[in-house]
Formats: sequence, structure tokens, C-alpha cells
Amino acid sequence: MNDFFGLGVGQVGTWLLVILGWLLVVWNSNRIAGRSEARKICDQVIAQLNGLRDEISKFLNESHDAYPQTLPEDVILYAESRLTSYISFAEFLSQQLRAVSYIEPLSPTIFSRLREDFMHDLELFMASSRADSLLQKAKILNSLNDTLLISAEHIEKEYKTHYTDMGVIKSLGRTLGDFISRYPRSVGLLIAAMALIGAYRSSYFVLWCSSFQ
Amino acid sequence: MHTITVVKDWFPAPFGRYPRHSPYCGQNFRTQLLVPALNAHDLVHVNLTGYNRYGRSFMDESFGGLVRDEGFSFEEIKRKLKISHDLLPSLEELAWDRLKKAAEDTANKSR
Repeated sequence: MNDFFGLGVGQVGTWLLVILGWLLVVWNSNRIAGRSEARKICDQVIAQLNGLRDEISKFLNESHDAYPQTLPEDVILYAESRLTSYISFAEFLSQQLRAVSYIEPLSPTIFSRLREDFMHDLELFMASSRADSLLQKAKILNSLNDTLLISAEHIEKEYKTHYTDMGVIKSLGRTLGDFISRYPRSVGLLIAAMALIGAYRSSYFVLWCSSFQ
Repeated sequence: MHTITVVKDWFPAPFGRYPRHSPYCGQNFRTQLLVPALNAHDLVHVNLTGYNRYGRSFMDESFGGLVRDEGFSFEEIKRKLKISHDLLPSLEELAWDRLKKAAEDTANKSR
């Protein structure tokens, strides 16, 4: 009477604890690996955005002097070729954050603004006279730095919320919540099965307890 | 719905605004592929997936040019055109921004 499926209660409890312990170890190592992967991607996004700023600065410093005989539209095309890969790569990495972490990627609007507004500003810069070019340059760099700082701030804030500030218990709760929301039917079936087994076994359990009296 | 997959139906790495920049420029894409498709079908899906470095010039000439040079209205394009990129949603926004800008410019000119 005092056994569960041929095992003593103590043995069942021991095995359950071993399995639960291993599940916790695997979950925690996954959590740490996920955190470091997210950190790596965050750093890469920020590096790409910094690269974009450096490239734009370089372009602004050379454009008026370097291409005196060239049509402005060709210079813009040249600028696009130099800058687009940074923007696309940063966006691609940012989108990857959603797949590997809980971090919300940067809004597509930020990248579309980088593609759209900065090229427009560069067009204005190319059209401006040398006398006004410094002012245009300052405007472009100010606006660019604002966008990049907002982006970096968003990424760091998200990382802090989801990884640095989140304790183990909260993180475990989130994982369980994710699991339930991802597999609601399986969890429902599991709970129903456990309830049935529990109901079936409870009569034996009561008898088992009463055997000690 | 008619689908144009740019990297398969046009060129794997489209570049430039005018034919003097590249034979696979925005203007040629618009006149040779996009406009005939829009005239022949009720709904056209332009799938940009497969290439990640579309320049603003290419996008402006391809999509903005529909309103600026081909006589389509913005509302008509909105009804008939679907643009997507699986990895870089900002390119879709950029295309619609260029279309809106072209519509604004055309409206300002006609005033």
C-alpha cells in the first residue's frame, strides 16, 4: 500500500527532486547563455550605429572638397552605398534580438528615418554653399547623435529591464508563463492528467497515511 | 495577386536611380516591371526580401516615381500595392514614405 508504481514514497520524492534539480540547472544555464547572447547583439547594434556616425562624419568632412565636379545625385548615391550597409546591418541585428531574447527591437521607424531623413539632409548639405555647409553639418550631426543616443538608450534600458534587474524567481516565473502561453493545450492536458491521477491515488494515499496510526 | 520578387524577377542587387547609374536602376524597375504589373493586376505585391542594401535613390525612383512620373494617385497605389521585406521592415516604411512625399510634391506643384 505504501508505494507509488512500485517505488517507495521516499524514492519517488528523491527522483522528483533530482529531475527538478536538473531542470533548474539546465534552465539557469540557458538563462545565462541567453543573457550573454543578448548582450553581444546589443553591443553589435550599438557598434553598427557608431560606425554609421563615423562614416557620416567622414563623408561630411570630405564631400564639398572631394567631389567638386560631380553631380550631387551621384554623391548622394555614393553616400548611400557607404551608409546603407551600416543601417541594414544594425536593423537586422536589432530584429534578431526578438528571436534570441526578450528585448524589444528598435522600431523600424528609426531605421527608416536614418535611411530617409539623413539622405535628405545630405542632399541639402550638398546643395548648400560652402559658407552654409558648416551649419548644415552641425544640424545633421546633432540630429544623428540624437537618434543614435535614443536608440542606444532604448537598447540599454530594455536589457536592464529584462536581464540586469530581473531576479531568478521572476525570471523563472516568466519562463513558466512563456511555456504556458506557448503550449496552453499541453499544459491543460498535463494538469488534467495530474488531477485525475491525484484523484485516483488519493484514496490509496489516505489509506497509506492511516496505516501509520 | 501578382507578386514581384525583386531579387528573382529583376536583379539580385539593384542599384541607382537612373539608367546611367546601372541598367538595374529604380527607373528601369518601375517602367519595365512595376507599372506594367500595376496596369495588368488589381493587387501587386513587391517582395524586397533577399537584398538588404536598397538605397533611398532606388526606392524613391521605383515607388515615388509611380506618383511623380506615372500619374498614379497615392490612394490608388495604396489600394493596389503591397510592399514587404521579411528582415528589414524599415524598407517598407521607406517605400511608403517616398510615395507620400511624391504625392505631397505633386500636390504642391499642381497648386
